Amino acid sequence: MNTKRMVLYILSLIVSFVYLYMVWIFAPPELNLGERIRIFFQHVAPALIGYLAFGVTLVAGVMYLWKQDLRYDLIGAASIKIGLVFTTITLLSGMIWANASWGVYWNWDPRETTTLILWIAYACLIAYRASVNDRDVRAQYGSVFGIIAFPAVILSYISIRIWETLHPIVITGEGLQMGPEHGMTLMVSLIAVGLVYLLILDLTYRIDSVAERLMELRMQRSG
Amino acid sequence: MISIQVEGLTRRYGYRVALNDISFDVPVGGVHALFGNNGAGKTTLMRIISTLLQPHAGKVAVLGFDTKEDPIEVRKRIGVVGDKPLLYGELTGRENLNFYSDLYDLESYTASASIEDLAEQFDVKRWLDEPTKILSTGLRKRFDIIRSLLHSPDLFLLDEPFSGLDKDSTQVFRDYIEEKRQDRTAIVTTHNLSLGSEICDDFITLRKGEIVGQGPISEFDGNI
Amino acid sequence: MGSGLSYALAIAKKDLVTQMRKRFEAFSMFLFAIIAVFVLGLVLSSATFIVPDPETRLIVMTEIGAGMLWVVVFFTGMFGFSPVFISESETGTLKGLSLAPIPAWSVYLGKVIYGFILMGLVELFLVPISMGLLGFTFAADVSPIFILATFCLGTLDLAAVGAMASALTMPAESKATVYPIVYFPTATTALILLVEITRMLAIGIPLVGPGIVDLLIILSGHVFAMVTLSATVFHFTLTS
Repeated sequence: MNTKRMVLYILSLIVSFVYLYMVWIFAPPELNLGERIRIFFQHVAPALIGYLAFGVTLVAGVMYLWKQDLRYDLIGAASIKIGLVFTTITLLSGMIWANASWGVYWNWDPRETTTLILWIAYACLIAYRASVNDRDVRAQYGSVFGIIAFPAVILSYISIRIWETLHPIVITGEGLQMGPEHGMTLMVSLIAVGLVYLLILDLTYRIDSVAERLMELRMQRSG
Repeated sequence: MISIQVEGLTRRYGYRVALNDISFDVPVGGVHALFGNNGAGKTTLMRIISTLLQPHAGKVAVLGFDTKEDPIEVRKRIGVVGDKPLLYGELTGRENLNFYSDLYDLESYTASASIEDLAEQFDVKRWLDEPTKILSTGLRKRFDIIRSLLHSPDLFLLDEPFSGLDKDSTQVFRDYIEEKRQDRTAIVTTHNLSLGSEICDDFITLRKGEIVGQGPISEFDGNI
Repeated sequence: MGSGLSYALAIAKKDLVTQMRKRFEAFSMFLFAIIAVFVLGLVLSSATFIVPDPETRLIVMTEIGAGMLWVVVFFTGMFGFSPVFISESETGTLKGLSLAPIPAWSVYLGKVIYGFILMGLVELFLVPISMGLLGFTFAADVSPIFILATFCLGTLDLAAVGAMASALTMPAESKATVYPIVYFPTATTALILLVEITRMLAIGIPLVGPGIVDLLIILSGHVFAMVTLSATVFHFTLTS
């Protein structure tokens, strides 16, 4: 294992523990939300990193179309899966929060709806990629799909600014609308989830490229 | 003057190499054969020359225009005939040809004149106003050949052009090629080696993505 | 000299002529829309039967019906938009369009124009029929310009997304299954906005929340993003 990767693993481990400590012990109960603020961190961080993951898919798609290098496609495809996992966590933690606050799991709030669409869109992208057999064509068309799916991310992100929703606008032009302890905890949670994202991306990319290399060797053997 | 210039061309499908670092030049004028078995890379090469496929390495220039950088300039100068006629069954022959003239930016007056002219040459005049879906395979093929000639291309790319073509039509098409062979270039891929040997000046043989034979047609030993 | 737009119009015209001769596609789209409106109307009328007050019932019907209309258009789009590239790729004629010396975006644009006109023709019949069967009307104080703008932008958005989805489905196995999973996720965004806007057109503009103009601007943004994004990357689906 090379040094960079070792540093990433150890750093992720340390920051994850700091994150656990800050979310559950360090952060004080909030004035209105009380202890429910603890769900907030596990909701916002995966949501934003999920958007980032789909952004990485977009960029990887553009890079693939430009350079025709299958490595970009592997990164893009890996990022969809991870983004989907994080979006699932976002939806679930949101449901837990909604149940704690309003007594129902799902409100059909615009943010909820647009995030669910986002989840469906990228799940469809995975299903779509599986339906295309030819490796090059899958990369090419999958990249195009990854690019045109991105407006769904933008709509999910701006939805709370369009409609009156249950979601507070936390990040405004004047900075974070919360106390310093909570702001710090949010920052740490973003870094922790971001590092975990990088870690899984790296692992998935390596596993997938080995799998492809294996396929390549088997194809070469068959002539 | 060179009509096709291929330099270090490589194309892969997934991880399989379809064309491996091939280079050759084709001069302007004459009919040139491209021989090879299935999977030798003939179709891939034709698709790259006709700008439908991008090279992974190396470059291809058609009449001085790079297929990757200037695909539109290349497409203006090539006429492609493949195994499937590129015609809309619901439309009549004339409507099909008019549609393609629009896409090739031909003046409607010259277009209709050349449609009449070519229809006369290929003896399909009385079928011009029938929907192409009711026509026989041979007639559809003739219309498809007319379609490829509308913009009087400098380079013909003919992928198995005589398959599905009856004897008369083959003769008409051969005469057409014969008449233009001084200043126009034709590349023909065919399984029919005897016909290929009859009409072509020289040949290139592909095997597993590499050039294994090249030279004047008199040197062709019938081995692909 | 032709411009990209004139090639697009030539392609759209070719498709419309072909469609007029085949007829069954437009006709089955229309029939499907009628069946969907009929089923939804049936469910809607029995479901709202528990509302005793006829006036409240009318409002509920209006609000749901206005949304249902776009659901019908959305599903009808599956029939109308899915063949635009798939059928040309199956008959092989797409190669003729790829070989023509025209920019790839004009091929895409031509198909969008064709889809827009085809769907628009179906809507011309569908909207009055569903207004009758689903029992909604447009609020009296709403300007007809808004109604026209909503239908034009909505149909254009669905046509843009539907054509791109058809192009993306070309290389897939079992295309009938794959088309919806490409079309739905990209079109749902437009659907949500359209349902919201049409509800406002039907029950009048609410005092709180975003105005109709705001939502129309966002919808235009979506149309613009989908058309330009798709037109930009479209050539990657013709040449590989």
